[in-house]
Amino acid sequence: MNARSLTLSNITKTYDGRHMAADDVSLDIKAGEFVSFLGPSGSGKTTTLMMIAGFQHPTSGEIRLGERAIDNLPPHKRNIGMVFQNYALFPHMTVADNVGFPLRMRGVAKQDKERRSREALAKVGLQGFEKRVPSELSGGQQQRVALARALVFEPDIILLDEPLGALDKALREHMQVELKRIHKDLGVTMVYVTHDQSEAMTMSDRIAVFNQGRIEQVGTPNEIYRAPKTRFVACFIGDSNLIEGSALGGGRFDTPVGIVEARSSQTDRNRRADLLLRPEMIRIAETSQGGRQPLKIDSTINYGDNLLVIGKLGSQAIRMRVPGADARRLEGVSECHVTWRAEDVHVIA
Amino acid sequence: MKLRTSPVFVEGPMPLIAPAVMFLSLFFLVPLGYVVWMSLSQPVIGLQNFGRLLNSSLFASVLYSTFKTALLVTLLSLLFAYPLAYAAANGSKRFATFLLTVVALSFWTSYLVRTYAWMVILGNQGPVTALLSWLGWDPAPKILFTTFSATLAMTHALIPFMTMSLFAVMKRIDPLYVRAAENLGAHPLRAFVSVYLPLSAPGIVNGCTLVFITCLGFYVMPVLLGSPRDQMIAGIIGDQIEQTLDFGLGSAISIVLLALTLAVYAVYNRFFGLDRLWAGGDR
Amino acid sequence: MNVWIRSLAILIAAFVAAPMFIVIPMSFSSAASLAFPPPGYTLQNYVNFFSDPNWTQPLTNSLLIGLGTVCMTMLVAVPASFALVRHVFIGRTVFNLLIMLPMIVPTIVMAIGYYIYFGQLRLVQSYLGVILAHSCIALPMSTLILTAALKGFDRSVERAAMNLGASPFTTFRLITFPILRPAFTVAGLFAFIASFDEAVIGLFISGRDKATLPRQMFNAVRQEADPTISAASSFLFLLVLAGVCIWLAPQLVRRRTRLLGQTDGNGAAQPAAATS
Repeated sequence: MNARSLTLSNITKTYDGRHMAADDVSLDIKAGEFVSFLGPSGSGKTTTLMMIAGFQHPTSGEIRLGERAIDNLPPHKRNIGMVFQNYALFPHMTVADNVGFPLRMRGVAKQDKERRSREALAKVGLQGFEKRVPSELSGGQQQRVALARALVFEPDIILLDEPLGALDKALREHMQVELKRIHKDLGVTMVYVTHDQSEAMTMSDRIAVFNQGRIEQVGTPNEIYRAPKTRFVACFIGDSNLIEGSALGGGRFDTPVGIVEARSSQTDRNRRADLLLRPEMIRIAETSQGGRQPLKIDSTINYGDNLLVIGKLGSQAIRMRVPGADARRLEGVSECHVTWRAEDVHVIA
Repeated sequence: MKLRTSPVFVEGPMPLIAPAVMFLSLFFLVPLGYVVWMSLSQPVIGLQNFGRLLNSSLFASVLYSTFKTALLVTLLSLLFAYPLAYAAANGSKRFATFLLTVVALSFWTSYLVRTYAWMVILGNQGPVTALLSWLGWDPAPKILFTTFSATLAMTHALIPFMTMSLFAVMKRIDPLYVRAAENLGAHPLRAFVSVYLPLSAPGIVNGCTLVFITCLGFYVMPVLLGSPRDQMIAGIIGDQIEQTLDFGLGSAISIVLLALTLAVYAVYNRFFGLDRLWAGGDR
Repeated sequence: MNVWIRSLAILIAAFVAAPMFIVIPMSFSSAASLAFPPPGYTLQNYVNFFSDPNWTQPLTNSLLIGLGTVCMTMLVAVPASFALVRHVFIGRTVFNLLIMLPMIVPTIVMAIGYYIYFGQLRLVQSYLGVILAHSCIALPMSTLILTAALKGFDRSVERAAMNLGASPFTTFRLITFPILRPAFTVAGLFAFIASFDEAVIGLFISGRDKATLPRQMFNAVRQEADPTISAASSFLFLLVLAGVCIWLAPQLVRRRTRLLGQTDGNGAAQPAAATS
């Protein structure tokens, strides 16, 4: 399958001239890459997707698919595959006619059309469903038909708009694996819109985090998780402790929990910064190492495989995740000593 | 046309609106304007047609009897339609289908067919007269061409309208409410009066409004079945066109009828919003 | 449900349905009068209805006018309903009210308006005049049916079609129209029946030549001279009866299939799911 790159250059979109649905969005998606647009509802991720598909027009900026600028092409001439949130299968057509539709629009001969539809259905594991109509299929099956229909005509890129949102948890996880497999097999460029951070983390090559019409950060799941660039990204993805501090130089910060060392590039002295410390990076210490105050435990929530401890370190509220194996040590305890490594403290500029 | 109805790439709704606006302007608003104009200009410009109506005791009595009849028909059809709609909304599916089929049968049958049927039934050689004289009522009273026959026929004709308005609202009333009321100690009749009846009120209002308005402007049945001495307003408009050819007066009466109708709509709109009237009570 | 309410409902249903059935025996009456029960039986009324130009011509006229009304109404109602459902524009409320206005204004008022206006346009006693007037009458109901269907229409299938390579026109032809076809059919049918049953405007503007069937029936009832009216009434009533039965049939079939599905288990449940 022919994968193409997608370039968004300074895309803005506004309906009323004041509020920005998309605000200076720029992004390079490489051919064959799987990129997720992650963000809360109303953050501009779906608007951006709709502009790529051609259902909405940017107020300014340029969209290029491979070498070609597609801003002035109507949706039906863009050769982009799309899987819709509610699948948008044609209710009055059979599965075969649904999947064959894009080929029919491209004037593909009947026999060829049937063969390719069959192949596409086989790729998503739906052989033998050709004669059914959408209302006879389960949600997961409809999802697969929508996927087959989006890839049967070998589009330059495939857009997926929260495609798994309507499925139950088990099926969703199964489809995540399936989608990833199809992406790998076909090598096609995919853009995946979701508000579910774990979905984005597990599936993507890169994630673009959207907030209030802007892209806050683009990076691999690891980068986004370990080194978020903004408070928003730090809070939106994963659980977090954000500790305010002012730089003392040399990677040291003065904070409510005392002097904290961080993995840090040079930060000007006295500059204020937010320090990110993931709850699972905090560990129970044997004794009060390094003169740290004890953590006052307010409450604990047992997840089975881990224990979430909510407490205070001095005046700073702290969340800590203790692995199940260590959790027993906290039974009936109202205070414990904690520690972490300097390299696990990330400085948000 | 088809190209313009295309979903996304319509530049604006203008091409979609234009046909309706042009069509209704030319073939609805202009003829309606003619009625207004004729009422004010025939035979000479001025308000004298309305003055004639104001001073006519005949017109006053027509107006009175039109209102009386419309009100009576509305109440009677509500009385008949309510149990029908209630049974259809709360009965078994089969029973409901049966009742709704009967209503649909009546709804779709032409007024003229029903008018003819009533002429046979109520005529002096018909079954009702025969029954009355068999019971010893001799000579049997004249039933046809009376206010009674027109009222009966109109009630019969409008029961389906009323039933549909009521049914649309009633089928959305969750039977759990009534059960809850009964569970809380209300007698079934009490539960009906204090829970079901108020919940079905929007249907009653809709049905009564529709039936009353339809009745105000009813032409066919009062003219064919009613008493010539006790005409309704639509009937005397027809007389002006067909017999006296007094278009000025006919138009003026039309304007009065239109104003009365609009007044009823305005009151409904003030309290409930017009959208609901045709939507069957929902939204 | 209470047996009293059931009985009451059945009694009222009988009152609603029964009077109309009298037209069937009457249509076979050999008497010219309205005597019931008829003194003798004959098919003469039907022969007249289908051969006497006084009746065949109005029937043809009404059919032609009905078809013309369907076309005219749809030509206006379809774009209007798309505008109402899919666009937000200044004056939308006024536009909506304008479309509903013909349902508000009493028909007799419009009859006098058309009588004068079409008289000046020389459209009295013409097909076109009646078609235009009937289209106004039919427009509100047809538009209501279409807008209701359009509101329930999921537009993402149109986007999907365009995304998959269909031009806006092709999308309408292959996706939008076929999915909405039942609503189009019902809206058209309503327009036809609104015209076919309309008596008042037809009475005043169709004239002798282009007389509609309701006009002919109105005059026959008024003059009480032509017993053919009984066959006309019976014919129309049987048409409705057949129509209602056809409407009822699928529901009965569906219930039957569902019953089968319940007794036979999984195997027979499939067709029930497909038809519902």
